[in-house]
Amino acid sequence: MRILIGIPLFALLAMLQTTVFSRISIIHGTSDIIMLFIVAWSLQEKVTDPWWWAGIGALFSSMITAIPVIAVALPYAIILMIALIIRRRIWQTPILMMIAMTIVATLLQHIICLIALAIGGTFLPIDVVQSQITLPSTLLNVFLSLPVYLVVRDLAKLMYQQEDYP
Amino acid sequence: MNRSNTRNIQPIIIGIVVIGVIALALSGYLGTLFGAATSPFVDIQSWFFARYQIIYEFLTVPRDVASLRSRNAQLEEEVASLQTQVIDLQQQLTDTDVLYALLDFARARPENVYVAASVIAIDPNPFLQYIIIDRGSDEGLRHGMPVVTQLGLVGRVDAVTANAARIQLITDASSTVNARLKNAGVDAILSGSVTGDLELSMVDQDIGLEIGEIVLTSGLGGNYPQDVVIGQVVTIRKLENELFQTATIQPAVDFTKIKAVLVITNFNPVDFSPLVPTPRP
Repeated sequence: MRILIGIPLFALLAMLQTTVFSRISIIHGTSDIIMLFIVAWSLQEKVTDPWWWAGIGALFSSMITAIPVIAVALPYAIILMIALIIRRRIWQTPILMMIAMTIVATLLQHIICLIALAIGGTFLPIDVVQSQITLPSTLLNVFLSLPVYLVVRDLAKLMYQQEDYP
Repeated sequence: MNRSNTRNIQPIIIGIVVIGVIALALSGYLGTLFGAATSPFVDIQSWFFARYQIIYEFLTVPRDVASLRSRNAQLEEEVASLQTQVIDLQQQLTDTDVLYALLDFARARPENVYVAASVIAIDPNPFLQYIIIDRGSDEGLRHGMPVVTQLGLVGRVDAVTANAARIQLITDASSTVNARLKNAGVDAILSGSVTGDLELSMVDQDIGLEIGEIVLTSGLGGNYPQDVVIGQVVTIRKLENELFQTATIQPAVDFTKIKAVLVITNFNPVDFSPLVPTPRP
């Protein structure tokens, strides 16, 4: 049942991503609200099914972008693995972890995108990408990470036992 | 005797007075006198009435305020509703203008068959320049079909579903268009970039490129129909130690504000790849 909630949620996020968040940019960098939701969800201590949500998120994300599916799914999977390892160890500072994971996730996602595009024959200038896309995107994602984390935390509270959360 | 005479005269005097008054009234002289006599009473009456009105209004104000507030709320609701209608109508007007412009463009080129579509999404990946439109294979859209607006070239269909299609813009980093300079009459290659800028390359050093020159599609390569406007030259980079000069192109279409497009459905892109020679081992 909890997994099923992810379907309308990520459908809504995909719509927001393509209509609202893709138009909000700093230089040429944009935020990835689906990725932020997956990171925030995987950092929730009591969440037991983050893989399903990451899968649904990757599915919707790959539907709305022209980037190859593997380049969408792979960063989500790696980010999720890192988040799951981290949350067992440093779960006392979730907001800091959210910000740190957002930075790591954005960089990882962009590196994998660049590799995927290069394999497809499109070589992008690294200096331009770094200054005009990756850094602004990271900044935007960090700005959004805190509100997203709070929303996801409340959602997790609703979906899991209330008493497990402070 | 005197007393009885006085009593007899009294009715006569009264009658004379009454007749006199009637005569004065009929002749119009009484009005002035009457007016002068009643003027103080009218003033007093006016004063009393004004005070009464003030007191009445003072006593009935709370009730009026309540009704006014209710009326105000009702009017505010109506204003909000009308403002929404105005915004909707303005939006419809804008959409209609766009559609009329597209229709004019389509009528001007009767050799092409167009399918009009609205832009419904933008690819969220910052490395890519793609849009999604609300028409798909159900309306005859196929991979590779060129997409234009009344202003110029937009791109081509990259992927299609039953009722939506993804369009690769000419500004995308992996997009190349065979272009032609209108005045110079030479062919060149137009490439997109990760920042959405368009660069014209492979222009011979001997060609006199000029700022403002119009760039059109050449039709070579079979991906786009020829003579579709792409944009105009804004900057030229000519270095002596390079084989070719390059130029930056300002696209005719503003891709950030694009709302509707036309897909040319009777243009079949040609796939040259089987004819390209491959090196033998």
